[in-house]
Formats: sequence, C-alpha cells, structure tokens
Amino acid sequence: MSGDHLPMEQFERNADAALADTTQRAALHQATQLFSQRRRTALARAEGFEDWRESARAIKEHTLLHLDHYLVEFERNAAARGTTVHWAETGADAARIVVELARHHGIDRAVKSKSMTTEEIGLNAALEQNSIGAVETDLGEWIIQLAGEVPFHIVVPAIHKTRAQVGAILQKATGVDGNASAEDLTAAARTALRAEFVKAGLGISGANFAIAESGSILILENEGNARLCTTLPRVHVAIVGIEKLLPRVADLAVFLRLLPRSGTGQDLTTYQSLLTGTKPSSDRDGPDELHVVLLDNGRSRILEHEVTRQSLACIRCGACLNACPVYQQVGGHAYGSVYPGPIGAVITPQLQDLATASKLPFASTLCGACRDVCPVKIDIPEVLLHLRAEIKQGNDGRRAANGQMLERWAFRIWAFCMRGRRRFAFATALARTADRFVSPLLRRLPPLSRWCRGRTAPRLARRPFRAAWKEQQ
Amino acid sequence: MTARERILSRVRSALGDRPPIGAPIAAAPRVPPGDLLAAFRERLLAVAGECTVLADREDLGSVVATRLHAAAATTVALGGGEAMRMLGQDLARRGFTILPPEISTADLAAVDAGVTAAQWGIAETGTLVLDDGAVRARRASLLPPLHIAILPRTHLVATLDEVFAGPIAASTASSHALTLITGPSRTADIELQLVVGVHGPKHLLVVLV
Repeated sequence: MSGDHLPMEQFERNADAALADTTQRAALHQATQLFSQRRRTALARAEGFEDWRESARAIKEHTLLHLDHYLVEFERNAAARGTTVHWAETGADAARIVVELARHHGIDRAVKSKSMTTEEIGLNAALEQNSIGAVETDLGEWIIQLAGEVPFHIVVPAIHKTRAQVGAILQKATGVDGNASAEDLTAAARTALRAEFVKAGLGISGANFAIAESGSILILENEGNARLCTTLPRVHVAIVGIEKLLPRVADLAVFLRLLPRSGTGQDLTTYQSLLTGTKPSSDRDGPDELHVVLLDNGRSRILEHEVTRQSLACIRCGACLNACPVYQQVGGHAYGSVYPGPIGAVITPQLQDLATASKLPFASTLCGACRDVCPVKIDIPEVLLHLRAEIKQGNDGRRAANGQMLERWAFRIWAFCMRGRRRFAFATALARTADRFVSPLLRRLPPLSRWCRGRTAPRLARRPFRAAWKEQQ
Repeated sequence: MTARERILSRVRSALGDRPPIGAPIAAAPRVPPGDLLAAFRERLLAVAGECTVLADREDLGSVVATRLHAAAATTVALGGGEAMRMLGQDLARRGFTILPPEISTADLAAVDAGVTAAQWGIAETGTLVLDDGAVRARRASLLPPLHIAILPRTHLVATLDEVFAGPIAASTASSHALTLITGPSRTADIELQLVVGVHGPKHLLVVLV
C-alpha cells in the first residue's frame, strides 16, 4: 500500500525528472508561494515573534542537553497515569512493537493520523506484511496512500496532485463523481473514513510534543481525524521521537504560537489534543489503553555534536520547504527521503547513513532562506556545511577520483591566485583573454557545458573594475 | 541491557559532561489583548466560527434552539455536567430528541448536533478548552456536524501562556484528555482549497453566558 521512495543516491536524476514535470511545478509554485505569503501575513500580526523564536530555541536546547533526565521523567509520569511506555532503538523495533500490540489484542484494522515518524519507520509496510489493515485518515495522506505514493510535503502531503487527479483516485475508492468539487470530494472521504474509524481497534498517531512534567503528549491538527484516531479505537499507540520532549506543560504556549504560523500561517490549528494516560473510569470517552513508543533510530547519535544537535530542535512545521529555492523547483519526491527539503537534507543523512544520503547535503544553494524562516532558529546551512565536510573527508576512497580531483585542483589554483595582488591581476587578465577569444568553445566543453545547459554564463567585463576605479581617483 | 538502558546510555555518552540542569526556562509572554470578549469573538469569527453573547442567561435554551432549528437539527447529543443536563431538559421540552453522554459511537454517528460545555476560552486565538475530566464531550464535540459550546464569560483567559501555565497544567494532573478547539474542522488538502467540515464539525457556535 505504501509507495516506495525514489533512490536518494540519484538526487540529480530525480531532480531532472521533477523539473520536466510542468504540472507538478505549477502546483508546487502555487503551494510554496501561498504558504510563504500566509506565513508572512500571520507574522505581521504577531509582534514578539522574534522573542518567541529565541525562547523556543532556548527551551529546546535546554531539553536536548538534559534529554536523559526528561525522558526518565516523562516515562515515570506517563506510567503513573496508566500509559505503557515502550523504547525502540530502531525503526524496525518500533514497528514490531506496534505489530505485537495489535496481535496481542487480536486487532486487524487500524486507523492512522498523519505522522512523519510512522513514515520514517515504514510502519504501513510492516503492518501490511502482518495482515493488519492500516488506513491513513488525514485527507492528504489518504489520497497519497490510495495512489500508492509517498508524501510530497510534510504538512500538505498531496499538494502535487490536481483536483482532477484526486477526483479520479477518490472515485475509485468511494464511488463519488470524480469531477465533483473539492467540497463534495471531501464529504465523500468523510463518509468513507467514518466507517473505518468505527471498525478499527487500534488508533495510531505521532505526537508533536511530549511533556515530561505530566507524562502527556500533544497532537496538533486541523481535520479532526487525529481526535477520532485517539478517541474511538479501544487502543491508542503514539510513536514519538525522543527529541519531542519538552519539560513543562507551560512550555507548550510558545511552541503553539510558532508552529501553526510557520507551517500554514494559522494563528493556531483547529485542534490540539493533550492526552495524559488512560481514562479514569470505563464510562468515559477514549481508548482503554494508551501506549507511547519512544523512538531513537539514530537520534542519540545526532546529539553528540553541538552543530548537528540543533537539527533535533525541529518541530516539523515545513516553513523551510516552502522557503527553499531548490524545493520550490524539484518538490518533495526528488529527495528520495521521508523528510524532504532543507530540514530533510539535514536529518536524513544523520538518521540513515552519510553514504546513502550523501547527495542531499549538496541539494542546497546555502542561501539561508531556511534559517531565516525556521521558528526554532536552526542554522540549517551550518549543519549542511558540517555534513558536506564529513562526506568529503569520509573514508570512501573511490570518491577521490576524477571529479573530486579536478575540483580540488581548481580550488587550489583559485586559492593561489587570490593570495597576491599580482597573481590575481595576472589570472583575471588571462581569464578575460580566454573569455574574449575562446569563450564559445569553453562553454561547449565540460565542465562549463553542463552548467550552461539551463543557464547563460555571463561574460566578463572587458576592463577590470580596478582600472576604472584608478581612473576615478 | 534493555532497549531503554541502551538508549539512555547512548544519550548520556553523546551528551558527556554537562552543567547542572538548573531552573526551567520561561518563554517570552505575549502582550494580552485589552478587551478579552472582543478579542475572543474577533478571532473566532476569523476562523469561520460563530459567536453569540447572551445578555440574559435565561435566553440560553431559546438561543440554542434557534441555532438547532436553523441547521434543521432534531437530535442532540449532550456533553456531561449539571448545566448540560438542565439545558437538555429545556431542549427536550422544546421538542428535541436529547441523547445522553453515554450514547454509543454508532448511534452518535446519526446525531445532528452536539451541545457541550467548555471550561475556558482563550481570547488570543478564539480557542475553546474542553477538559474531559470535567465535561464528557470528546465525542459529542467531534462527531456531529454541528457543535454548540457553552462558555461562561468569566472563564475567558487572555493568552495561551496564561491558560497553559495555569488551568491546563493543573488539569493534566487529573484529566486524561484536554481538547483545544479553534473553529470548525478544516482541510486544504485538495488543491489548497479551504473546505470546512472534514472529519469534525462543519459548524461551531460558541455561546458565551
């Protein structure tokens, strides 16, 4: 049911294919511009936004620096309220815990609310292998699941699909007229999914935040499907990355101000569910059991270095995707990873391994737009550069061949020329002559020819600026 | 070693020597709005919610009945609490079919409206806070297409900071579920077109008493 990701080792090829898809690019353009615009409008009405960012970053830094303390505190308080806390070292471990939980209760139908963490651990595939039907209930996620694809954007998973495409998918699933309006298509989905909610024995969710002080989890959403997933089935399991911890209930206020404004430009999403343990008596609404799976899956490794640690402060708002000139052109699938865009280029190589995801830290212009919009002030370019250095200094001997040698020599020569006034004057004079007489040829030969495929290389000025400056003096 | 011990020891060795944990960090608060009622109403209307401020508490039954009639609603699921029980009796006298909080999910699916109490309102965002420990309303506020919430105006708080540091932090000690609601259920998953009323209610009316 869940689709496969593109090979992330082939980012360039994926990107080329994405660039050729004009329908998708039009949808992407509309979506990223709209969300960026909404974010700006929301921020214009939020005086103090900069202070909130500072506060949120400080709280996250503090929590990550004492993560062991807060994890133990969370576990203790959650258990005291009847929550069963599980620990999973890997994605496979976490998926196994959920499968065993379903088996233990004899459950073969589950409903899911949108969770990037469950995508990360490949939960749908694991459930499917064990004959447990899991239905995505966020409208966008459901469309993606029915289409057999993977999410395109971490906040709006199906933005690359036109209404006609969605109509065809929903017509097949529900029988609704595929040409119907977005409103009617949504209504058909509501009816079809209501039946799933009533049948399912297990509700699966992620969590946006986990609170150490109270042992609670908090889930944000707009549709109401997360509320249904966590209220109707008799068992609820939440998969929570260990970096989602916050010390106190009071800390939520500042994060609730930042997250929706950054993600969708809303002051607040429609619903927040703050769930703490199991219900006090059987006549109350809600599941009989609440399970929280605390997931490591590479996160503890990211904690080690101060530069990389900040990537664990991410609250998954998606603002950096919308702001990124690379994501704006190639979209979410080209990255070949669960987490696309700038934050994906930072997280994926660290969660997986640097070799498989070695292209992703280079899928950025380092323009810094991601850093400027990040609500928790993650310096994404800094982390990208750190990862690039690690990749280049890696022990992978094969990579030292041709391309890299050429690059290394080019930079050496450049560095040599830049170190003296005369050298610089000589080098630029040489470049000017070459540009004047053999430029058309140079632009047709590698390496310039590749660069010129989609761009026009500017010509060098006939006279250097230094000469003009001297005259003016 | 268990997975728990291995994860915790990896976290500890990754972090190495650290300064002592110290006091929790206080976030920069938001400047509270001056007129709470006006701010609450303005924010709620901005997210397609409806808001009625009662001049006289005696009018509650008739205001709720009017909104139910407008939606052609005849069956009403009640949230828990004494005030709701009394309102339910009033509505029953006006000819509505009133269903108790214990109603099964299957039966609730066919109900036209949910009428529940709300504990607090947040002026900054036009948000309702429903505490399931005090009011049984998780399903009644979610499944029917129309949700009418009754909120005492003295329970309006200014900001998210205030409500999370105060009443919400206090209720997590006993309540298993708190729900914050800001307007009706919504999605923009099809071509970014806003559609109101996807999985939750299509209409939300807050009656301030």
